[in-house]
Amino acid sequence: MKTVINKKCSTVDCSTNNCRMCKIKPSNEKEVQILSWSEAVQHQTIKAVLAKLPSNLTLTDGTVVFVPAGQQTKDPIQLAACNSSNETLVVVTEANSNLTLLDTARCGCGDKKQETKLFILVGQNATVRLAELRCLSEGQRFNGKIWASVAKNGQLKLFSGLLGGGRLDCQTEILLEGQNAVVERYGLVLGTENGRHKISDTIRHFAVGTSSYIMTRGVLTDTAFADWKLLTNIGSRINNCNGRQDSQILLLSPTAQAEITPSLEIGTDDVICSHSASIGQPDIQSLFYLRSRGLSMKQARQLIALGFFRPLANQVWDDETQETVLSMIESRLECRTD
Amino acid sequence: MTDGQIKKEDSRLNQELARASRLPARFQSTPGLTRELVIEISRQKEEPEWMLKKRLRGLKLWEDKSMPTWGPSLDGLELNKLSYFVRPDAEESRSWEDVPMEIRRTFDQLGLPQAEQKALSGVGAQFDSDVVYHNLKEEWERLGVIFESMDVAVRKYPELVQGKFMNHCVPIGEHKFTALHAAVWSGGTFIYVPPGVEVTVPMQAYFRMNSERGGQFEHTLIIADEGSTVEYIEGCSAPNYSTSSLHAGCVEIFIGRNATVHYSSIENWSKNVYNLNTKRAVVEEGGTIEWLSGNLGSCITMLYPCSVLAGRGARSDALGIAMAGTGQHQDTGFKAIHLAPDTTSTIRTRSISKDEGRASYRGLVQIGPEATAARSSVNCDALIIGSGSGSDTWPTMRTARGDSELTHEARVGRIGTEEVFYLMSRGLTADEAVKIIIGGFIDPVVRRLPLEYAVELNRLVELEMESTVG
Repeated sequence: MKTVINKKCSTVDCSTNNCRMCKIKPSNEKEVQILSWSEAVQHQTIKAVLAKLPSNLTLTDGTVVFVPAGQQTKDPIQLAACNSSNETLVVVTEANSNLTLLDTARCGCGDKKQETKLFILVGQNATVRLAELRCLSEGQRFNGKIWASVAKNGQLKLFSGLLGGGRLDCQTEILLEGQNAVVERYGLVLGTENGRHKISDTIRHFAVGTSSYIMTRGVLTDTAFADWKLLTNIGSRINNCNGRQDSQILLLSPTAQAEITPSLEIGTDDVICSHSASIGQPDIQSLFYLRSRGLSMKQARQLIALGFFRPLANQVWDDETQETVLSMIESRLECRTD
Repeated sequence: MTDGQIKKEDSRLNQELARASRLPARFQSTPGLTRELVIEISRQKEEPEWMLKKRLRGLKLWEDKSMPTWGPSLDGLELNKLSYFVRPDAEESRSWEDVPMEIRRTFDQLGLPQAEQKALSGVGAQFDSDVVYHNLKEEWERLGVIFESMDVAVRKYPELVQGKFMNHCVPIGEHKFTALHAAVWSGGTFIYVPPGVEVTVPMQAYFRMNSERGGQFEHTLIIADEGSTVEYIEGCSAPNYSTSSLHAGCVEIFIGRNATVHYSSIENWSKNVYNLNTKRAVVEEGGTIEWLSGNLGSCITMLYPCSVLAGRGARSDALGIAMAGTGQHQDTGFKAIHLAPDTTSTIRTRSISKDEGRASYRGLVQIGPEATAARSSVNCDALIIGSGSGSDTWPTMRTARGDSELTHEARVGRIGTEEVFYLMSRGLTADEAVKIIIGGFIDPVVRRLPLEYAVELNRLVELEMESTVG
């Protein structure tokens, strides 16, 4: 069973019942604690964890999702719809715990500029799976910042989907700080109209035996533009590491534009690293085949785009969310594949 | 030849080259760069007025521009202590007999006259700032092929040189070191191949930087007219000093309709040289540029040959190999700028870093708004040997066209222990096994070289790899 929770609110003008910031207790409260910022800073464990954040990430507000040591959450937790244009979410999991969080926000912020910050601290032997999906209105501005740290034997699986929007700027930095820490980072982008998507994903390996995988897929229509900068950094003498990147952009319009810089910075020999990147248009033979089966060009392109996203959507562990992701993409593509 | 014989031969070669490095110069500028020096270079070379103007413009831009804020550190480069113009005590000649014995011996040791007889249509040899030997076989001369030192070409063929020399291919003010090059360039090669002429035998130039705290700034200009073909090979080396030297050459290649240029360079500068080179080709409709770039020496290399695909169906193929050992940072790569429809580019590089050396690939593929149906493929693999060594890959793929196709792939890793184990189980030593694996790794690049150069490159890599294992 999925638990739906709303984030805690610290804004004074919050009064609506469907605001994700309002105080509604989760059903599995023992396993997961949702704390407002004022509560979080009183919590000794969380306070100690937050103190470890880099000085440039000092927080003064936000909602904290806290999973105490040894707690194994059975059900995924779903965050409710968003009404706020600025929000900060901090996820703290202690040793030997796990957490699955779904944030499929259908943002109702209109054309307002939206800014979100997400901080994830994965404890020793802890596992965090987090999927966030933002469906933005045309022309909407969005700034997102994700920072994560994974401790020894910790695992983080992070999925981000950005659909539509105007000018988007998203930066993600993940630090693998403990031995054998693992991160899988999945990014999905659908750029439409005159959207400008600037995305930067950085993974830094600071401990031996760490593994990282970045997989990104983007589809651009109309005059959309995407600029992806991916970096896997493995420091000097950080041995026995794996780093992989796989990024692809499908251009559905001759006026769409894209830039990918998939970078590797490796400071030692005991690594296996690779990256692959491609920018291209739908395969002519696939289009021809689909047309020969009676589909219109528009339907064929749409189907190819959905198929292109499918391997990435499959990485979302929750079937219902998978279908949500694909149906949202489908509806967005509906009038964009002429 | 056995390993022992190779070592003995190398030792003898090094002694000979060391002897040549003590040769007195006919003219050596005082350290530092001044307006007076720039005017003096132009005066000594009896250049036309337009070239002096270019030089002075270069000097102005050099003073105005700041050092690059990206890439490897250039802090060790003592620009104020370099001699920017060093003339050897020799006139340019078309016969090896007229080249002074000590200089000739250097090139003998490097195998240049022998290679000329066997496999080359023309040869140029530059010692510090001046070309000392330049010759083209008669059969090619009769077909209208021009192969001259750049200094001679400026005076002799202004109608071919003036419009193209550091104008729209490599502009003077592109960066600080192109400005420096424009101010103090000296020597280099000029090649003109008339329409329809296919030069089937390669031409070669060899650049030797001999003086301590010296700088070499040779300029190469190649014009391949419509439907022509030419292959040009450059080799570079310098003796080792404890002080830094600078090589800031410039290569401009103009490829006409349906013409083809194969450009190969094996740069084996000594480990005190900063190699900050600029190379670019402009390719017209149906033309092809094939780059082959081998970078083994120098402490810092920053070299990114660039193809500007300006005409429909123009093509660029680039192959590169970089090897970084102790104290070396090879920051290399290729660029392909697609400006016209149906243009294609491929880039393939291999790098090896060992003994705390660092090899970086920095590349760019850019597809402009007019380049319909452009295609590009990039592949760069890196081998890291030793835990202190490093490798970076910074490729950028940029397209302004939805109907373009760009792919990139790269792998970084070390020599697999299973591979070494397998070869050792077949009776090889660990050292031999590693050499074979590395030979296979660089094979795609080496295979593209003429046989003599492939052997030379393999040997250089083997020498660099010595004592890597165990």
